[in-house]
Amino acid sequence: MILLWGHPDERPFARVLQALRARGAEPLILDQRRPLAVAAGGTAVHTAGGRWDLADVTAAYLRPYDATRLRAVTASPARTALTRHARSAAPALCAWADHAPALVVNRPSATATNAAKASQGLSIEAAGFAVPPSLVTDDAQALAEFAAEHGAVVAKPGSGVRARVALADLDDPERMARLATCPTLFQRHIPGEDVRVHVVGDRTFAVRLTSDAIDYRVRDAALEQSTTELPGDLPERCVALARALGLVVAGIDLRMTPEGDWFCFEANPAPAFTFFAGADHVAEAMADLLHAHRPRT
Amino acid sequence: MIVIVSGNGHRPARPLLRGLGGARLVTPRALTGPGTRCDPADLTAATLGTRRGPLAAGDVTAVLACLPAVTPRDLPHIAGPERGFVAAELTALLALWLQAPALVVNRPVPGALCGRGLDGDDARCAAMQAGLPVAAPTRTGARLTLVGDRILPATADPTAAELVRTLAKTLDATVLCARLAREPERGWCVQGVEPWWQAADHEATTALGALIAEGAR
Repeated sequence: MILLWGHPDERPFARVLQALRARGAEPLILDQRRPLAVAAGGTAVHTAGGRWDLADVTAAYLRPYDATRLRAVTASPARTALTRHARSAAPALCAWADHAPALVVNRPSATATNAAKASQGLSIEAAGFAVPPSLVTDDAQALAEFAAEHGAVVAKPGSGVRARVALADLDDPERMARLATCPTLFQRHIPGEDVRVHVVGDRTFAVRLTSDAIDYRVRDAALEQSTTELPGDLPERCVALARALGLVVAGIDLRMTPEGDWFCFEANPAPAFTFFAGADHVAEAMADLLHAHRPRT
Repeated sequence: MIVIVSGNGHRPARPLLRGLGGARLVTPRALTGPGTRCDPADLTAATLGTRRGPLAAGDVTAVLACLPAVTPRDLPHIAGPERGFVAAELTALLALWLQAPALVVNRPVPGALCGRGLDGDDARCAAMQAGLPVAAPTRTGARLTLVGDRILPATADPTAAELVRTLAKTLDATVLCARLAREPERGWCVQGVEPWWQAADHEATTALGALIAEGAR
């Protein structure tokens, strides 16, 4: 049995589900917007549709959100019950997913590496990728010294909270004053072209992203995408990086400088691959992986 | 210097705070800048800005990580809409800072600054995968604490002690507080885990001091 846990209307979830059904699979869907209970210390899952045993799961694709914040939950007349279900089921499902003999895309503990980007950067460097020089600071003087050494500097969230990457403006007194309220991750700005690599098992799917924006994800940014082949041993290195982080599927953000040097910014454990060119190939590969997996006996 | 990092959620027991002479308590609320400088390439030179002044990694011999993450509730001084973001950023900062070479009890893992051994579901699943007997959690049961290789209380049943040691190895925990149940058919079973720092009595604190002294050597 294949398990999908998350929000079925969410694009990556829906796309993988579609690809699985095209292969004749009918996965168990645990919809975060519906009541769900997991037996404490056990593997029994109860939904409105019936009772299931997680021990029968051979492969799982997890894209859980904080269910207590989903609009479908907060706007529901049954929000109290749904919130209670979510609060008890999520930790139990995460614990199961961390230890299950099934193929899990991705295990929650591995997913958490992206919640501390500077810390994840140490693992990325250990896997042989260059990471931009970085500094986490709340100190304007330290930032000034860092910028004096490295030139243009970008500010980005050091956690998993999504926010845009922007050039740091050291001459903005208001921003510098706000810096003291929260340590921020700064990195040397690396000029060049972005390449997003989706690792799916031992396969890679690369997309070249051309944009004038510092952060190509910014809405209204002029962005051109095209699928591409990675040069040299980069595909193998990306697969090795994902494995080192415990990820079966990852969205790895690379940048190639005009001099031909490659830098790695991060490995996203829950890539929203439908945003990128060639998403169908990624979804097909994920469905293949989930569908073909048979647990070791 | 011994540093105890703790949030509002699970405050350390008094014997722990008082028993480790000179230990410095650092809370998320005390992490107010400026003064924080953490270069991932040189964590030995990292400094945390705190209300009581900078805390240099070089001055720290051991860190007791007594919180899984910084939460918005730890930051009442931050404006409401910003609390969640600042909490996530401080968690990321501490995850990096705890990679510094000092002795850290327990070493952080992705998603938990205090390492594993706090989440009952995780502990039971890990125990099951390791083939250890598991029982449903109840309010009763025996509580055993492992500190390094010492089991407390020292009078604990040797079979129960061995079960806790095996569980700690599975969770990669140096210090662990486990709750066990004794069932007629199966003997000792893992029920769950508790924050070791809340269960730390005088005896556990003394053992921890010895462990730190040993590690510092």
